[in-house]
Amino acid sequence: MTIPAIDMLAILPQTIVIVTALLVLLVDAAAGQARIDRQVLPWLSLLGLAAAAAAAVWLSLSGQPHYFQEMAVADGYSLTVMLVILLTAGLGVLLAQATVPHISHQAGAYYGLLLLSAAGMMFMGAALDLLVVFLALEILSLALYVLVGFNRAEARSAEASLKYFLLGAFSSGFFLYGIALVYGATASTNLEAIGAALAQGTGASASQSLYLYAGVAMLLIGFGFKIAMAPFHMWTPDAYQGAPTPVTGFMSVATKAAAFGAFMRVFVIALPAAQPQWSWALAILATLTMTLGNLAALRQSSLKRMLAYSSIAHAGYALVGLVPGTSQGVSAVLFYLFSYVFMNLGAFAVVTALERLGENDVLNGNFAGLADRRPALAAAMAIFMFSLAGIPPFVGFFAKFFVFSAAMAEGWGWLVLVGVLNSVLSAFYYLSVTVQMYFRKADETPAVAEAAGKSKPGLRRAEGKGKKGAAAPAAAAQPAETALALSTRSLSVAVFIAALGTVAVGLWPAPWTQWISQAVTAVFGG
Amino acid sequence: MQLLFFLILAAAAIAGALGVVVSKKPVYSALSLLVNFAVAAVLFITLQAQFVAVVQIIVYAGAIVVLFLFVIMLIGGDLPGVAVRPRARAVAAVAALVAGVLALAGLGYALVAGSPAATSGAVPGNGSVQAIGEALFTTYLLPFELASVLLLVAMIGAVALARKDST
Repeated sequence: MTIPAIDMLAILPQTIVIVTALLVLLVDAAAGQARIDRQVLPWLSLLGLAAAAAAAVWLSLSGQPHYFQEMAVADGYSLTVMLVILLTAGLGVLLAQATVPHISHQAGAYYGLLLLSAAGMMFMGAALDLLVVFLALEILSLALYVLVGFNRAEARSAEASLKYFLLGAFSSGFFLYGIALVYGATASTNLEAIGAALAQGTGASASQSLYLYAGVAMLLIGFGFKIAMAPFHMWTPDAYQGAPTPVTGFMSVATKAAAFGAFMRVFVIALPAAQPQWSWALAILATLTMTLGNLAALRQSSLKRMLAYSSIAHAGYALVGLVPGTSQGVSAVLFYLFSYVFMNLGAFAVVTALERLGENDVLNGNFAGLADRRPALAAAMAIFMFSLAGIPPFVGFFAKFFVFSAAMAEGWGWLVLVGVLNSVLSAFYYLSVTVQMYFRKADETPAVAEAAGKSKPGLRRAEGKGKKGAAAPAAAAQPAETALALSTRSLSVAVFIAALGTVAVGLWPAPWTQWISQAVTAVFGG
Repeated sequence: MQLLFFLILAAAAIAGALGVVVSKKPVYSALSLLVNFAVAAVLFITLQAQFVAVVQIIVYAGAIVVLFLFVIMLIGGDLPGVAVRPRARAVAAVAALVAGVLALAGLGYALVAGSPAATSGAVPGNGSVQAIGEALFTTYLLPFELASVLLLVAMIGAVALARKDST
């Protein structure tokens, strides 16, 4: 037995994130005795994420892909997926600072699990073997099941966690069975080897193709569950609504990025032989996903539920880019995920900011007249809504445009038409949020007014407008006052970064698309 | 000889599986499951997969069935609260039948048509502890390490969910 040579650089970013998670847990454990303020945990997490991002950028600048045997790779494509996930995780940590102190005393476990799930997601993008995909999928899922149920004071959080866990375990079973069947058809779990085996002998034996199609269908179910694709989306609204809002924001974006990262590599690299079949399957599923998500989102009164259905619809738009199976489509989807980080996490950051203490959701009436009470927040929300609807100067428009033009280039005209019609439909509910914020007076029922007064001081101060001194003493009386002030500041930073990204990438998309398409063509070919 | 041996074992496995479904008391179901797992372990040995056989005994017959028994003892032998509606029972029966027929058809098809993996498998010595250990620390090093991260996540998650939220 010879010990193989191992290129540890190939998993450097993931290793940094895992080590940071362990450090966070250790510091949390020692914090009681060593008198360390637990406020350092999120900053430690951010530091680790930044270091991992720096490592990823360094690796991608060095140009040469690094392979960890035949299991994982650090190439342009996987590093781009990793950077998207790291960005999401960073924003997720910023959001969490506002909520975590109020829902749990286990900040260490929260940030540790967040980082470990991010590490699992990064492995999804880097995986070259179905086994690694599966293990990474399980790492990220297990961590998310716990994070969804982290708000133990609320029954809905536990319900969401249990639902997500049971359905998630079921879908993992499908995924694993799919791997077994694909292995049965090709005698390998390695993506390149599967592709080679299929290129040699596809259609030669009927049994092979039967196994293959059944296996591919099951892999599709496994991935479809994670990206919230209809008809495997049933868990999404409940899990998204019940989870603590920072978790919802993180999982809605990062899980999609990770699952699409593996999804695209598996289908385009390993299964091009079955492409005519899966293209049609994906086209039909994308149509179903977009339409179902948008129609359901129209009728929601809870903002989080509306965003959950909208995220289903967005999974559908992104799927449109994967349908043709070209490298143009893959880079379009990657750009879509990149832009989705800003607009969707931004929207969830605003939801977090609007939540009242001890409440885990924002209802439709709560943001009526928001523009008068908090102009900056309302403006940011309007930007996110316009961008999610796909209105031109913002990044969401270009994301949709690239995805649709990639499908158009391969002659999927009808699918693009469905997508455009769906965008029109979605504009209705996104814009109605904006209309409520700007053109409707807040119906100042006592509860709403009181809540507004309570949550105002922190953010007001953070924005440098300490106008309302009257409410401040009430907040100062609370023991968690310093934590509240800190967290709202970090929340404002998160909203600002997201808004900046939505506008800036929308105005100058060229450098980003260029980078992404370069990274993708290096891996997926011209 | 081999076929005879297989038939005896298969009959025992099916008897165990039937016992799980048919038994009225949960404890008997769990014990029947134990029989099924043990016979499956013997079947693995006949397929030259000693390591999987031992793991089957230690993990499934040992840990999992014991866990089942613990839970059954904790919540009481018979479950008065769980009254299965006849309609749900019928649906479950039909679903199980369909799934079973599909699985049988798939297996039969595999036997008739053959699959690349099936013809290349079952090399003597491939299932030994040494071979598996070697594979784990060379070819499958990364999945092996990832499995350790997975266990870590499960442990942290279990503690986070179960710990009393005081202080």
